[in-house]
Amino acid sequence: MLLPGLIIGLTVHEASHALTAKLLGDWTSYKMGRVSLNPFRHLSLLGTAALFILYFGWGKPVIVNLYNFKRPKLYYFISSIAGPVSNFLLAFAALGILYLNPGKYITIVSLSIFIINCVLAVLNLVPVPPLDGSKIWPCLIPGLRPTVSAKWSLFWIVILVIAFSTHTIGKIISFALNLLVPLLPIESLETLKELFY
Amino acid sequence: MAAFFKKIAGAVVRALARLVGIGALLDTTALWAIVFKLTKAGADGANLLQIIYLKYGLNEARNAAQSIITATKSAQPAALMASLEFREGNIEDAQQWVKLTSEKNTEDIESLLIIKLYLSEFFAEYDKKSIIEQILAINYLPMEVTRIALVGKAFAALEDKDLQLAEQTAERILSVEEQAAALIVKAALAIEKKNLQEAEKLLIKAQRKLTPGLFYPLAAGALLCVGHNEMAMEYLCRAGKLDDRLIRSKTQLGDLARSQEFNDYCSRRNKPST
Repeated sequence: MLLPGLIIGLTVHEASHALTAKLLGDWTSYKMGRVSLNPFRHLSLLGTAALFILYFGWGKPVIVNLYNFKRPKLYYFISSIAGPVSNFLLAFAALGILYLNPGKYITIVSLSIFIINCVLAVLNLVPVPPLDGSKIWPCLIPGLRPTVSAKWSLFWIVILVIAFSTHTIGKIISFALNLLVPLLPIESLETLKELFY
Repeated sequence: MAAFFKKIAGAVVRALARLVGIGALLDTTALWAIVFKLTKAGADGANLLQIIYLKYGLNEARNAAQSIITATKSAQPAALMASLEFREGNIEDAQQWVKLTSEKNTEDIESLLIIKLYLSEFFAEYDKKSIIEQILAINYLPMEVTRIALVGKAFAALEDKDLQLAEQTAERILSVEEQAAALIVKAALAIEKKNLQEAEKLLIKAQRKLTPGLFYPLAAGALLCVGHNEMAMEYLCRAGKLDDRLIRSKTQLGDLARSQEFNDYCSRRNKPST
C-alpha cells in the first residue's frame, strides 16, 4: 500500500535536490541525469532491495559540488532542504486530493503519498548523516562549515542504526504523524483505519 | 530502436554487475565487459578498466584499454588510463593516453583536465593556469576536481606574489571545508605578514589532517613560493623519502628537491636525503 508513495516520494525528493542545485549554479547532478522524474534515475540498488526486505528504502544521494555555489552555505542549505520541502508539498497536494473525496483507489494512493511523504520529510530533518538534516543544520549554525568530515560517517551510521533500533526515530516520526494525520478528512481516516487495523 | 534496447539491456546487466560486485567477492569483469559492449558509454568503459586494473593489474588494463578507447567516443577511458599510469609513476605513459584521445574521443573531454593539470608539472605543453581556469569555468565537475584546481590556483597566486588572490582563493576553499592545503596557503600568507604565531597554528592544524609524506612537501612548496628557501628545505627534509614524481617535476619544489644544496642540507641534519 505504501509503495507508490515511497517511489513517488523518493523520486521527487532527489529530483528536487538536483533541480535546486542546478538553479543555484551547480550542474553536477543535472549532468548525471538526476533532474528527472524517472524513478530509475534515483532508486539505488541497495535502497530498493531494502524496500522489500526492511519495508523501507532510500534513493541514490544527489552529488553536489559546493564550490559551484556563489554562497556555499546558504545555497547548500536551500538545495538540502529542497528534498524535505518537496515531500511536505507532495503530502499537502495529496491531502488536497483527499478533500476532493475521490474514488477508493485514488484515496489509497493519495493516503500512501501523504503518509510516506510526511515520514520522509520528518525523517530527513533528523541531523544525522546521511540524512538531509546533517547538511541543513550546520548551515544554520554560525561558525560551522557546511560539510561534515567523511571520517565520521561510520560513527554516524552506527548512531543512526541505534536510533532506529531504540525506536528513537520511530518516536519522532510518530510525534509528527500524530500532528499531521488529524488533518485528513474523516472519510480518508476511515480508509486508513480499514487498511491498517 | 536497437540502440534503445541495448541501453535497457545495458542497464539491466549493469545493475546485475553492481549486485554481484557487492563486497568485491566475485569477479564482475565479464559482466562489465558485456555492459560496455552494449552501451559503448565512456563511464562503463572506464569502470571496466578500473575493475581490470584492480583485479589483474596495470598491464592487463593497458591491453584492454586500446580496444575500449577505439570503441567509444568518450575520453573517459583514456583519462582513467592516464590517471592509473600517473598513480604508478609512469608520467610519459600517462601523457601518451592523453594524446591518444585528441582526435576521435570527442565526448567527455573535460575528464582529461585533471590529469592535464597533473602533467603540467612535468611538460611545458600543458599550461597550468589555463587548465585551472578551464576547470573552474565548468560547473558540473566533481568537488574533488574543483578543489584541486582551487588549491593549484592559490599556490600559483603565491608563486606570482599575488597575495590577495592567494588569500581569496584559500578563503573560498575554507568557507566550504577545512582543507589542509588551503590552511598551508594561509600559513604562508601569515608568514609573509610576519604573523608567525598564526602561521604555526595553521600549520599544526594542517599537519593533523595529512600524512607526513603529504604535509611536509606541501608546506615546503608554499614556503618556497613566498621565498623562504631555508624553511622550505627544512620542511622538505622532514618529509623523509620523497615521491619520485616530486623529484622529477619541473616545479620550484622539484628543482629544490634535485638540488645539491638540498642534499647537503639534509645530510647536515643527518636525515635521509633524496
